[in-house]
Amino acid sequence: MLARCVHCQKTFDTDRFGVQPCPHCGQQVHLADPTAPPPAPPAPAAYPPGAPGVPWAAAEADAPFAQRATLGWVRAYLDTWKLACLQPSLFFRSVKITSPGNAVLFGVISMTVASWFQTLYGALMGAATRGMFQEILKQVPQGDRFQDTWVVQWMAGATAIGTVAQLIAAPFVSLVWIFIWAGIYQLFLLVLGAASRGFEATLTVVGYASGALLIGAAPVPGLANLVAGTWFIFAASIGFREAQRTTSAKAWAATSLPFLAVCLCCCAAGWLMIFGLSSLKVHGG
Amino acid sequence: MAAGRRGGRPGIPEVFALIGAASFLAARFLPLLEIHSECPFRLATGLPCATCGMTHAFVALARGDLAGAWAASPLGAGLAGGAWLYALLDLARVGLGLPWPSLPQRAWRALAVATLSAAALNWAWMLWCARMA
Repeated sequence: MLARCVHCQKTFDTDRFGVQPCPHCGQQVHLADPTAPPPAPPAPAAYPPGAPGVPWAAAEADAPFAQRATLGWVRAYLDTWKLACLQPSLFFRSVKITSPGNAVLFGVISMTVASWFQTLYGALMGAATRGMFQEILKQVPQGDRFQDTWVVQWMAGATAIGTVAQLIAAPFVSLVWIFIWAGIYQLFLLVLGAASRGFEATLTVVGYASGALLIGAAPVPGLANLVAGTWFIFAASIGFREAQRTTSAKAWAATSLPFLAVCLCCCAAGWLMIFGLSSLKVHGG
Repeated sequence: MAAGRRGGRPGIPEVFALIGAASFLAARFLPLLEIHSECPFRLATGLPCATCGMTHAFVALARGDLAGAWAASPLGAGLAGGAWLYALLDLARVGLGLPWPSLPQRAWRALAVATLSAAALNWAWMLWCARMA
């Protein structure tokens, strides 16, 4: 019979089907047997996708950030950031969890850069922020207790020493933040029975998902942090699902429950701020 | 939990031990209570939040005031004592060159359930105390 090579498009004679080399170009050509029975449909999955114990087929690989010696720091960081924040499902499914140090370093860099930018904005807007903050505190119940305290100066970034202290403390605070939050998430994952791959997987997810907090460096104080925090929760939730080989419900529950407790306080703080601002408007008008 | 030191570098247990030790140094030597960071939840509702009193508990215990630490937050007192004891034990473990004890997943889960239950009980206790005050 006459066959045509899909590579060089030349024809040749052959007496069999199957894989064989093209006599012209040497490439392997697959000639399907038209009389062969159709391939059997794939067997149904033994586990629903996302269920614990699913035989995940993806091979694990180092994150680009772990290859920064060869890729260079900037490219390795940017490649990892794009994967962790824009393709978290694919990334956390296949990233190696045996070297969480890389993930922690990645997270510390992201949070430190964001913190430095926020400190810079704070220093630039220090006087205005301080004045506005003190006016708000005057309207808030018991707000006068905060006047002329460290917290006002810290919020306003008014002192040079405070600014320098924030710049220096940022990497250490970031490191502690990553470990403490990884520990809190691990608690909830353990209680939910969703920590099959241990603390290394949780720490890896928190470290790489912290890359989203870099958004906090955007010159939109407040909103940037809100977007960064929300993005972090999304990336971490997807990351827990993939890295811990658990279900979406458990991953989202483990991520959301600690934040609900924090939100309770944040909502109260927000209410106080709104109350203070509205009072300010009334008095100002 | 990671199996401690790998290739001479500190592992996850050592980092947590360092954090525990740093929390003692901060509570003992930094003027944390002068920051006056009032809890927004308490300001808004008059009730303590789940983590209220933690800083006071850490500072009181670092100064040897066990009763003060317990009064501020029983969970905070327990957390502070546990963290510092863990830091000491891990330092001793590293010094003796012992491996990180391997606990089964069931034991870790029981610990996690106990910790979250303690947090919930602590909050209930704090709310009850605030109501009685």
